[in-house]
Amino acid sequence: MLATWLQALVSGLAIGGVYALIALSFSITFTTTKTLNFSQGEFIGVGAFLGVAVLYLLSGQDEGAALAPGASAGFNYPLAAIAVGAAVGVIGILLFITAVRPFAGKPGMSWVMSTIGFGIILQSIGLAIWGPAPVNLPSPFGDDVIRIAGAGVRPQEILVLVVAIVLMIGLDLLLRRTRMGKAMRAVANNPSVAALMGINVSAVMIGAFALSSALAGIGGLLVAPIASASIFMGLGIALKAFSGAIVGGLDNPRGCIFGGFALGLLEASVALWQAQWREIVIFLLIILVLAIRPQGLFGARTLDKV
Amino acid sequence: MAMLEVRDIDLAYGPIRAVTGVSIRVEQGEVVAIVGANGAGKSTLLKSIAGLLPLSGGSIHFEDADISTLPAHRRVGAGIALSPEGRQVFPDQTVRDNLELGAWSRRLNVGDLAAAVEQKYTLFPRLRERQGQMAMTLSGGEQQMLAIARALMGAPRLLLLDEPSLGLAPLVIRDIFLTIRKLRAAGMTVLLVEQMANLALGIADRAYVLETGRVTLSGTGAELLQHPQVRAAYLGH
Amino acid sequence: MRHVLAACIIAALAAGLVAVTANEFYLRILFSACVYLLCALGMNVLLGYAGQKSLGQAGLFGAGAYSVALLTTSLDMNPWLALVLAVAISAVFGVLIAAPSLRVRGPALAMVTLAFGIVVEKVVTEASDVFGGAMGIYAIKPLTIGGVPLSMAQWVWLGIALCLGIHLLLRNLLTGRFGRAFLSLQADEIAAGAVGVPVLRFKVLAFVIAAATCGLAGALVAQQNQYINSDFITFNLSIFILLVVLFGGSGSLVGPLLGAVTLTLLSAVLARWSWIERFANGALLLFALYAMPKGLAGVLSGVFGKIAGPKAAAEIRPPADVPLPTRPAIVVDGPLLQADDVCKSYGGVRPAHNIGARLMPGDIHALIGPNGAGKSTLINMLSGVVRADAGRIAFLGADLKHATMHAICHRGIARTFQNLRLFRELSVLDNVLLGQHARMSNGFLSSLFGLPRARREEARARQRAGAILDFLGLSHLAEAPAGSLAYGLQRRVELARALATEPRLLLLDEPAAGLNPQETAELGDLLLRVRAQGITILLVEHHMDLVMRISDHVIVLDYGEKISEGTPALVQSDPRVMAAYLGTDVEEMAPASSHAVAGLA
Repeated sequence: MLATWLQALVSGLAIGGVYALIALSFSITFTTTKTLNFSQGEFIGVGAFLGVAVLYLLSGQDEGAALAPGASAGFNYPLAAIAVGAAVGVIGILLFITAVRPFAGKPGMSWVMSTIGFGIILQSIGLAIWGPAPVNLPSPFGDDVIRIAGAGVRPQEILVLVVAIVLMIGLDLLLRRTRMGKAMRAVANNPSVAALMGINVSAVMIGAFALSSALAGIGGLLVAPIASASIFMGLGIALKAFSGAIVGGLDNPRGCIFGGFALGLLEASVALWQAQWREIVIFLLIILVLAIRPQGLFGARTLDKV
Repeated sequence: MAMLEVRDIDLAYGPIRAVTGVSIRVEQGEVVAIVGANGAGKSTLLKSIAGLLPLSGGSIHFEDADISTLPAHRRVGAGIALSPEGRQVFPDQTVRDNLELGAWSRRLNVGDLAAAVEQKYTLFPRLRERQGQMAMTLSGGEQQMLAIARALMGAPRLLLLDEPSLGLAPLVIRDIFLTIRKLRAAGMTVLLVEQMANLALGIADRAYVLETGRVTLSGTGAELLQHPQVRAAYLGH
Repeated sequence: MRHVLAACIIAALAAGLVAVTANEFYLRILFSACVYLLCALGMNVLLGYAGQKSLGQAGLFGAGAYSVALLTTSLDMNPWLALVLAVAISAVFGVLIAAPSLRVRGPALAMVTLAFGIVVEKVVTEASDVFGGAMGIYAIKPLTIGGVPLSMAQWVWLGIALCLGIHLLLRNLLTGRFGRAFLSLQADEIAAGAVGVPVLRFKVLAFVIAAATCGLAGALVAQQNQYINSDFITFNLSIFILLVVLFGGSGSLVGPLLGAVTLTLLSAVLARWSWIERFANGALLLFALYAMPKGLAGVLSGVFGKIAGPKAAAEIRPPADVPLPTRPAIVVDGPLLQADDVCKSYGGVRPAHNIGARLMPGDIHALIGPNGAGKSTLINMLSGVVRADAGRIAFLGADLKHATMHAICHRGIARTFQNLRLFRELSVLDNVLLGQHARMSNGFLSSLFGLPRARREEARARQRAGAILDFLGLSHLAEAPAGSLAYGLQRRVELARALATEPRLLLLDEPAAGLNPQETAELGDLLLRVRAQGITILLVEHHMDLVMRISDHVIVLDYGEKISEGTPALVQSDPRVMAAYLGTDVEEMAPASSHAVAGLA
């Protein structure tokens, strides 16, 4: 019994780490631009497949066969992560320029639909290149289950958790300690006053989208060895991450991280009871939270100026 | 040539004409005030000088250069800093961080940045006591000091102050205005927008009266203090 | 009538096409077009009129499909009855999906609707003992006539008939009181509330309409196929329904038809290459958003329609001396509105502190004070935009404490806004007719079926709106989009809209802001004429000339407190007022002391 709970805890924390990372990625663009990418899920899927492609390249394997278990070993996986982060970051800049900037700040929230449109295009290109079938992305530490106090834990779960935490601490430090981070928060708080400080506001916004998209891509690469990587896998992850962000408060990065982890743990514990109900329970819960506190648990209440 | 020359500018918010055909001039070392009732277009004028609002007509010249189309984030580097209406400090950042952001365009190294911050603490000792606090926890008067100090961090040659008295208690207002006087004595050029006419005219070398987006009167501060039309501009004829 | 005729001709042509087509494949494409058109007709109400983005319509489609499946298989219900019930069940789901919209807005709401669609998808996939999962439910009873299942051609005829019927019903609804109310939600919820539209109720109604047509479409698909499984209910379906409306022209009556036909045909052509179909849908979505915000319908009306008539003369005609429509006169003993000890604070700011005011019937009251004195806050509290923290506001003796914005409007308080909150895309006349919203009594059903009552009310509202436009000298601009007018005229249109609610008390928040001196003078004359009609006025204003000329009574606020009140002359000479406005000289202030330092804290 204890072992089952422990196992649920670890996998909840691991998947929660991914949710937290993606939730944070929503928060980064939302605070700086008041928009977010509704096709973050497609970015996750594309990130995973780009990672697979890079690993094929690095391990010198033929595209025909499945990736060998050792393909991710050594520096291959971190190199793939860097490459994916950079590539998806560039896609994010493209997204900002084509689908967000033309519609941001205008009435009607057309950016919701334009980012979805961008995502559909991205996904269709992914389908054309990689096809709809899921692929196997081996974990850099192998797939042998480690036994901890009777609970079976996959090395990738530990890796996901560690990487997610390291990235989040890094981002938190970036946002709170560095001049760049302070400038980003200034833009988030009040773009025109930020401009008065001499901050190039549109450059910061582009940077926010690049960073947010890079996180989504890396999230895809992290989660792919746990769930099988398919081009469609991102939608559910992104949706749950967004739910986490809403629970924590979209405008509060630390709240988003909390929300992501909370959701992961909740999902894992619901899965102990009835695996197929986990999504349903989670979304119903989100609707409940929103009904009681529309701004999220840690979000700031906004006032409309009349 | 004057340090700042605003030539015949028009400003609008969408369809709303806010300022029409306004020309003003600020000489090196002067304190110039723009006074007028609510909604006369004073803040709008100041925003356009800081680059936050595009011109619909006319031009703005600063130290012999036409800055009419220079984006806001590059005007700080050019030597113009604005302390905006309503303070608008970054509420979730500390006093020190707010100040450091003010120097963003100067790209100072750590030592110079600390020295610049230290200098502002000397001007506003109150801020030193509060340096680690979030700006939102400051009182209105302290926030106003922070906003002015933050603008000064950009090392401007022209300081724009928008309604520094807004919503403050009289004694605090007094302190702020004494500080403005100190800045002037140190050689700073100041363009001040202020609803409290008597206060502003009391410290200004020269002033302009704005009514519904037009300059209706100008002269030295002392002249305007006595002028009946100033009172009428506020309370009706 | 021409519209009805045209719609019937198109339907008849489509029906004729069915009669001469024997090819089952083509019939199936036509049936699909009908199905998507049904979805789009309701979605157009939600997205195009009410302006709410739903990314979860597939969930409602699923609700209809699975309802009909379970009702006819597990309960062995009559297929026609099951179809009707399925629509009703979907409508209930519509309320469910609308519920979060009562609290959340913006991106979070869009995401909640998306999540709803996914939940339904998951439920029908995972709960396979009830819904059959990917295996699906077989042997769904098809619709029958005299015990004989419909032929493919008959299915298409049914689809066409349903589309025609629903189109005509929704047209009745959307061209009158309800359509305007939906459009007002899209444009500006606060302004909608202020003219008496119950915002939440109308939002839910729009969701329910969209849910019902989507549910109907789903039920038809299930019955026609006699089979349904979880593959039908996907996120892509939700997006496709959205795309049909956007591409066809959201907010246009013909848009859904154009969108459904073109996109169904395109899908049929591209269906062989799944990624290209997907790519095309994404690209069309982006293209529609960029290049044709009004969709195909907008493009066509640009080509065939009149190329926008000559710009209406942008001046005010001499106003006619007609009486304004007003509520029956009542005798008020004492003040019309009385506020006592009203307080409001936001965090550390306290824009209202123990404010009291008595507004006497038939007077023009002015509320003045320096920036940030709390004037707009008071107007906002009186009109229900914000709630007072403490104190009592009584209008005609009744407490307004818990009244919503639209209820306050119903009781006879109207307002304008400092920064203009017109429905900019709507015509001047529609803006004024929206003001009449709360004065009209035709309900949902009489509007939907175009019953005489609805027509009578509409005619009466138009006649009253006409009188108001005459009164303000705006009649010649009735058809111009409100947002296209010069600023001064827009201010006047907002006044017309407020007057159309037939108020007893009119609250004006800086009505002269942005007006030139001549317009300001004309406004003064106008407000005196409004007063002469028996309407009490409270205005916040900075143009002192205007205030001093027309007011009977002036209230002065500073730092959220009332510092003076009385006749204009009295207030003008009050030293406290002068100090509040002009301040005092630095030298005259108290010398620096320990107090000064304490004052900073």
